Amino acid sequence: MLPAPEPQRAPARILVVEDEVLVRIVLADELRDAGFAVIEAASAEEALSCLAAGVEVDLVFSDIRLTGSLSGLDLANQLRNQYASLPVMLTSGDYRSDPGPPGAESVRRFIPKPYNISHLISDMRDALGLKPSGGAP
Amino acid sequence: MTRPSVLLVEADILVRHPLAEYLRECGYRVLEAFDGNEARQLLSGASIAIDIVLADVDAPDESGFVLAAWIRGNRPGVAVVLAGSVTRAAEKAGDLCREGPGLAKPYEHQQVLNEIRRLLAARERNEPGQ
Repeated sequence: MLPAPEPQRAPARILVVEDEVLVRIVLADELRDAGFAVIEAASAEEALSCLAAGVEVDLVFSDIRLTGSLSGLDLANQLRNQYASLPVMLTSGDYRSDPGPPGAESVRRFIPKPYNISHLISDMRDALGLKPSGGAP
Repeated sequence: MTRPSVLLVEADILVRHPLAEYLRECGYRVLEAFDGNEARQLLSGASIAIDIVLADVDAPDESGFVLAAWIRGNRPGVAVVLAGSVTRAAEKAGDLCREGPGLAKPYEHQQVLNEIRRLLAARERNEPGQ
């Protein structure tokens, strides 16, 4: 008897927060090609309004340096307070290593720029508790 | 066959994201821009194919009318649809865009899709083989 097929799972939803549009669309395309659903935010404010409106998100990936009044670190702090279980990954070209606070929480990871997209996708799968490869995220 | 590309210029993520997802589900490649500045960056990239721009006339950094005029001068092959929440603005948008018309906001997704299909069909007639 053949094993029952695994139930279809909705793709994981990544909220990408990046104010450089040319970086954002390339990353969003790569993530969609990898099977993720992507929500594109141009600022931390957009990301927060999206979450406040109830848009379901499984992981937030944000640049630290953002235009607007909030940085990616500010965003991570607010997310930690309001959505404690939501995994957050931060990226920046200005830091060679983890920039520190609010780095204490276990859900946050730091990815220095420039990042390798394959490695990034692997890290996202890991943060989401997904299998390393194969199948829809 | 390459999917037609739509550049959606809309400052409100709660409007932009659902419409972008709807158009992706309909088979289009959708690029999302927050404002006119982001739109120009995408339109200036020679390697980025864009067939249609759908822009809000009330973009935060500049009017969609300004963006439409810039596109006419710099990317004349790109069709533009402007959308506004004020009826008069939508009518003015219809006058400005060669292909017209202006769409009224809030967006009716099916209406947007119909307009994109109409514009692409018109382009196909005018540029067979493109």
